[in-house]
Amino acid sequence: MIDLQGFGDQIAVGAFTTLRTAFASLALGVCVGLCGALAKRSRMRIIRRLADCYTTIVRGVPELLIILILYFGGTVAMTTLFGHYVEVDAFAAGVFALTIVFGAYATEVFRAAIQAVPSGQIEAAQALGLSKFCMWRLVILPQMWRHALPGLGNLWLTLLKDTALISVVGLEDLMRKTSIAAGSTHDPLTFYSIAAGLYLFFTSISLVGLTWLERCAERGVRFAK
Amino acid sequence: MLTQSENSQFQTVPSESRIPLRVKNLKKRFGRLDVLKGISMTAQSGDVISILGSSGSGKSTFLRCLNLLEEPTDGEIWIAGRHVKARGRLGSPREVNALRAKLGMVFQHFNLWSCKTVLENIIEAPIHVLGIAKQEACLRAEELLLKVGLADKRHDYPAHLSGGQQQRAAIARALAMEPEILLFDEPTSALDPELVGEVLKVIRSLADEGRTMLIVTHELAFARQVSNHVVFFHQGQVEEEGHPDELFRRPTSPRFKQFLSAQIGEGCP
Amino acid sequence: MNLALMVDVLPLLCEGMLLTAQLTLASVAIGLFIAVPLALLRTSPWPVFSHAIFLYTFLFRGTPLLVQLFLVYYGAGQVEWIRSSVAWSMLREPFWCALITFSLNNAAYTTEILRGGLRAVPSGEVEAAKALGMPYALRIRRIILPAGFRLALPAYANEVVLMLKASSLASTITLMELTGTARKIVAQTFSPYEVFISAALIYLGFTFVIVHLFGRLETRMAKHQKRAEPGNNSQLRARTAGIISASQKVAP
Repeated sequence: MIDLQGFGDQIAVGAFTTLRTAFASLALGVCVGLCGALAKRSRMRIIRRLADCYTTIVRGVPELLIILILYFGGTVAMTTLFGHYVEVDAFAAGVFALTIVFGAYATEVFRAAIQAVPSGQIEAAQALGLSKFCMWRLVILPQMWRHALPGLGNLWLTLLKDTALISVVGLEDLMRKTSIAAGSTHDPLTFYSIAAGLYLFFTSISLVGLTWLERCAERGVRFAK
Repeated sequence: MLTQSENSQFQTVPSESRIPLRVKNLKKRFGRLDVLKGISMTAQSGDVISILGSSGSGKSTFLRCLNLLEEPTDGEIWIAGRHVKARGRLGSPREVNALRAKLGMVFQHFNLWSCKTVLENIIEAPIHVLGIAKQEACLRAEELLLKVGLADKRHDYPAHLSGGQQQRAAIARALAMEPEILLFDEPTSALDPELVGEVLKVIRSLADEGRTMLIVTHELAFARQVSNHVVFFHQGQVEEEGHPDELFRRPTSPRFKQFLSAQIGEGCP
Repeated sequence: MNLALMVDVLPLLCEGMLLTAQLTLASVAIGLFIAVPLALLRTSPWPVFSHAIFLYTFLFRGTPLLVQLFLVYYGAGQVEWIRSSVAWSMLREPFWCALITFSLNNAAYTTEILRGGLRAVPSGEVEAAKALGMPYALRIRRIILPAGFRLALPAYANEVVLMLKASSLASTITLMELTGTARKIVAQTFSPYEVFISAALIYLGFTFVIVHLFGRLETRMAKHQKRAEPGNNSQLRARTAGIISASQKVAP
């Protein structure tokens, strides 16, 4: 058995923080992505432009740099706002940064998924006299998920791995806890291997779950036909 | 049916090497499905053999077995006197490739290389398989393009050509290897009706040159005109064969009769 | 916002940019060099190879790059035979650690992207090559690889941009590339907005250059595609994109 030298609890706490961060960013990021996709289909040009700017910038700048900007920039902004030194919570900054990153990629996934809904479905909804809100809620969104699922799955796997970056600004996640353990025991090989193993475990579980979800979505389609 | 002694004589007598194709008792099984149940066939030099049959009768599989795109389960094949497929045993990859270079295959779906121009498609194999100099290969390709009527399309990509033009380019590609035998796998089945004629015209001109050809086709009138031997496949076996005039006028097998009337009933020839 | 400061730090950041460019280009080049044979073996009919290579890509794509980087940078020194070998003189240097990790990571992703492209090559085109007597190696070199590359190009362009972004992790092992330089300047000037945003703009510029270059390469390579009926071609592209994005995932 691997000797954790008493750091087992700490690593478990870190792993829990990692998952908490990832799930929080996923939930918020999906909302941002949906709004982004709607913005990209907006009738107003300025909103479309803004959405384009958002996705282009976020996808062209390293995630680490975005985290640094939000963390240190946030600290400076809060300090000016309150007149005294305020340090931004690493968890909040981290979730915020990952939400922004995830949201940008999810915007593109949702945009493509909405486009994949056959236009005949939308025309049928219009012919039935459905209101715009009803049309989105009853026709487009339910069908869009199936097309969005594979892309979102990929983004989730990326998100899970990107949480490790928040350790750089001090979030006590799996990565940070293993770094501390590796530093104090002078055994980085073991501890980073454990971290790698845990991340691999999370991604593998996610893959199994995603395959199952995709199969469910496909089955729904076959029944619908 | 050949006896075993005739068979062994066949392998040693040099004059036999002039026979372009000889197949004995070829069998192919996919899982538990017998697709070919023992086909024997001989093509003399200059023979044009048409292979007819309803879909699923194994005629395409037969062609694909000849150039070993499918590995036959059993049987023997001689190409230009060379024994390439012995009972249950295939030659080395080098032998297989040498055999394939002697057989020109024309596919139903053309299978031109989409990122190469027509000319590049034609000179690719002569340069890299036969080792011909590029200049010479280009010269010969130009002649072939003239022959199939595509001289002005040499620098076009396959996607920019019509189906008929693509199939003619594919024929030129097969001819560039100077094959002993040409195998046509339903060459006009994927074409729009108005494009069938131009491809058949090219195939007919090749027959007139005295090339040895095996043609799997649904074009009964064409098969009757162009071939000197017709074979009818049914469920992986040769049901009936003979000279086309004889065969079409007085079909003996009830299945071939049925096939003919069904085809004519559809208004084909 | 202090524009004067942004102008001031630009030369310093550009120095960091040089190291970022070096790391990115070298990792992409080495990654591609490793990925081509691996992708071929991954699609080969021998299960021993395809399984072993799948394990490699699974490990590298299933764990964060940061963990891999720390494992190499901090962990390699613990292994006795590495310490006593010639490689140790390299693995002591953060630059080489970063380059090795990035190259292996990039190779893993590129292998799967190329595999998707190779699988999308129409089987008829491969059969035509077989039927003309082209041996396996020749088929790979003249027919399958060129066609597979074309099909994988859009996904590969994405991967190169991701590598550029991933190179920022080198700053965590003391390398003074663009992000590292920016962090150092922020620690001295306490003005994160100006410095980090300048750095972000440089990254954006670099991303645009990469996207533009690949875009030009794609249009040049797309000349063989159908002009008259764009619908047909876009269908093929959609199919290919589907195959490739499916292979993007950690598992098949």
